[in-house]
Amino acid sequence: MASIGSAATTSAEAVRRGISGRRMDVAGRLFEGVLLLSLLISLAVLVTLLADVTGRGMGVFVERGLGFVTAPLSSDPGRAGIGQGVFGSLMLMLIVAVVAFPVGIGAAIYLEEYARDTRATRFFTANIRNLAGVPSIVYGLLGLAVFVIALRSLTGPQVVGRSILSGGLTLAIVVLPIVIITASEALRAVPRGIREAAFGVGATRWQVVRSHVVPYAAPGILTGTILAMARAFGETAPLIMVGGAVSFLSTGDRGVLETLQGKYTTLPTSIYQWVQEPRREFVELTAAGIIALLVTILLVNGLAIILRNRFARRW
Amino acid sequence: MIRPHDLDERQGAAPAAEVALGAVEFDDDEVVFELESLSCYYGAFRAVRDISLKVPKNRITAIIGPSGCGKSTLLRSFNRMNDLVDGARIDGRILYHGVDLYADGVDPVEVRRRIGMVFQKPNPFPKSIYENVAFGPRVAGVRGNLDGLVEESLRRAALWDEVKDKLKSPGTALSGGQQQRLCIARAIAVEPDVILMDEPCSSLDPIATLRIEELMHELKENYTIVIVTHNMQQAARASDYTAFLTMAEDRAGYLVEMSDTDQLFTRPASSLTEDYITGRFG
Amino acid sequence: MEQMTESGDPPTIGADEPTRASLRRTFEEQLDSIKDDVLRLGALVEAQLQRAGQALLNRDVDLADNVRWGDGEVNELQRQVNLEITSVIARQGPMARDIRELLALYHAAAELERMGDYATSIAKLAQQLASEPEVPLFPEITHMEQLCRSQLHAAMRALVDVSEEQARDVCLGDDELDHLYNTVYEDAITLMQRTPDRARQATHMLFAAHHLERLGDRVTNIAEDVVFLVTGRIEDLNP
Repeated sequence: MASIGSAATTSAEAVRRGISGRRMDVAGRLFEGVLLLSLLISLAVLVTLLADVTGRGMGVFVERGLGFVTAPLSSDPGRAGIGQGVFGSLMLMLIVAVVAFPVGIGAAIYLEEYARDTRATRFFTANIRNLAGVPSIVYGLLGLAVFVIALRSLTGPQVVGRSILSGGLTLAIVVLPIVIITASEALRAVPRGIREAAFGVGATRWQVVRSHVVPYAAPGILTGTILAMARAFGETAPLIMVGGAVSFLSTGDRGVLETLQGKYTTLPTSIYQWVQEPRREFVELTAAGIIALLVTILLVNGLAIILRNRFARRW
Repeated sequence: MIRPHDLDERQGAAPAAEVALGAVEFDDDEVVFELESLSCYYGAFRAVRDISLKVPKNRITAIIGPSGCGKSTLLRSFNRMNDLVDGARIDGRILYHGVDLYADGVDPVEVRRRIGMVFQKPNPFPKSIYENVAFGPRVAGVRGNLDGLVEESLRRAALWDEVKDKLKSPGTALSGGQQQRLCIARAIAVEPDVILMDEPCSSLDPIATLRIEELMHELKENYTIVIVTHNMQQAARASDYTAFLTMAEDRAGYLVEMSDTDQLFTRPASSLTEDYITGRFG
Repeated sequence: MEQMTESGDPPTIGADEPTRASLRRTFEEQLDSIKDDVLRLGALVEAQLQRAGQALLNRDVDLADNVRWGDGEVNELQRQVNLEITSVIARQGPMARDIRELLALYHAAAELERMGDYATSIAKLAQQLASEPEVPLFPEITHMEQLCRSQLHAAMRALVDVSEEQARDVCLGDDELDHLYNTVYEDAITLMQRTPDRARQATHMLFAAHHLERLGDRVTNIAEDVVFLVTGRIEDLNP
């Protein structure tokens, strides 16, 4: 290509020559190809997984329909279902919501709005981030030590502490750092101008936080908590440690406290159990269980997105 | 207090804490703020050095100067907004009607109810127009029906006619100039004594700017106004008194001159001032 | 007009465009005040001129004194106008028509002050004439004084009304003034040749007429200011 800046470049012909045509951007094209390939590989993995699972498990839904969803665990593959698992998972989510969200959101509010920017708070915040990255099985160990063993009398005297309460509390701790981080982020996203304006008319810090900061950050906090829930829903390893992989559980006709302190199973742990069964029919059940799990998580994430969009538009 | 022989010395070296050139004298009952050798620090950095001046009642006092010379920091020290910044502190005193604003036992929340603020970028709450104006009185403890107060505040901010039919619509849907007038109404609603304005027009177009200047003129009847502006034409047009700050070599801002606006813009006492307003900075 | 403001914002109802006049109310009040002062200056000078003419006609020494004292007020008012205009230009940044108006007013005030000086000079001549043996005043002088006064009045009107047409009309009377001055010149020469012992009086009267002729020129200058104000062009209306 001609170099720019030569003397005869202002004639119309020279200009046209200079700016028309395309240079072959070899490196760029190559790079684009590589990126596309990465995307395709990821998609391929995902698609293969889904195809495999659906192939194996769709049969169960076709044969038994909703029966599969409501049936309890059973040693007979023709009768076993995810009913108890779903119930257990829902109970866990409830406990997580009740325990982790107030504590996590409260901690985030304190860190963002009240704590002064000292070395201590920065140290603390950094460690919360670290905690979010800790493999959840470690929390399982913590839950085992504290909730199952040490607090046995509170969490489930009849079941050696391996109750739904222990499971819920353990999951709450798994999820707590995530809640704190996402809530902090939502709070930090509140524009400085809003706070300044509120302080400017003579509001106390509490009034500023309550009337403006939290409402403004609420959609973000909500999204964060829903995503944390979705994550907790799929947790398996810690639950195995604190006793969620139990075979039989009757549901419904027990009091609240008994239920909380009783044995349980969850959807992921039900799947885990079936995986361990050698019989071939259980393979199909496992796949069906996975389908149910994926669908649920998809729905929950979708809900989070819808809610976020709805709230975002309102402001 | 003009000392002509000092004029030659003021060429960039930071002066000692003497009275600035052209300082204006006011009667004691006219004075709202009196600053005594005020310095403002962010941690170890001194942003503003040894400022002594007086701000008169029911007048518009402008603070002008180049970017970074501490004008906003100075303004925010009047209503203790700097308290919100970690590590901010002051040296010296600010007297508000004779009372030391930073004395022990002074509640910054109460201070901010009496000394309101309008910010550079209009920042209405993401709530309805009504709620924007009503928030201040509510947190101040005013109970009952606030309709009258909201209307009065919006009238005084010259916004009522434009929004009276849509008080429930969001404040953020207004144009920039209207939003800023909403912010003024919001500040007025708590019935302050002073309104501080931190470059209120810098994000507005010229017509909105002129409108706000006319509004300031009406407002000064009931409020004392202190405005920071980097637009010296605005200070020339709109203010009664002007203080000129500039930056010393250690990047601390200091007061060069404060006088009657007419005087400052036609016969400034300091050559530094004259260089700045005629655009000959270098 | 609506879309020019607040570009980038969604068009909302009732943006920031108020009625034309109120946007620079403070500035306009200051401008009006200056105009009033200039008009007052014009009225003062008119009065000074009339009294000077009277003093001349009636050999009234006291009235002449009056005029001489009155000059202080004229000078003071012109100084005040100067300061006001300087302040407004510095502070309000006037453009286009506004700055032409201010410059026209500034110049007009200066011209009026000079005219006041002429009136004072005529008053002094009146006193000198009164201390000498009486000689009938050339009637053309009184005529000139009346003409000057009416021209000044018309020029002030043109300034108030900002009327290019009226301003141009003012200059029409200038020819007559010149003609009258030439007549006085001839009369004075004749008087000096015929009766040499009246040479002093003749000279005083000639000077008086000269002042009046110069005064008329100044009035024309004010009319030119008005034309400049309206059209932005500087024209010589008195070639």
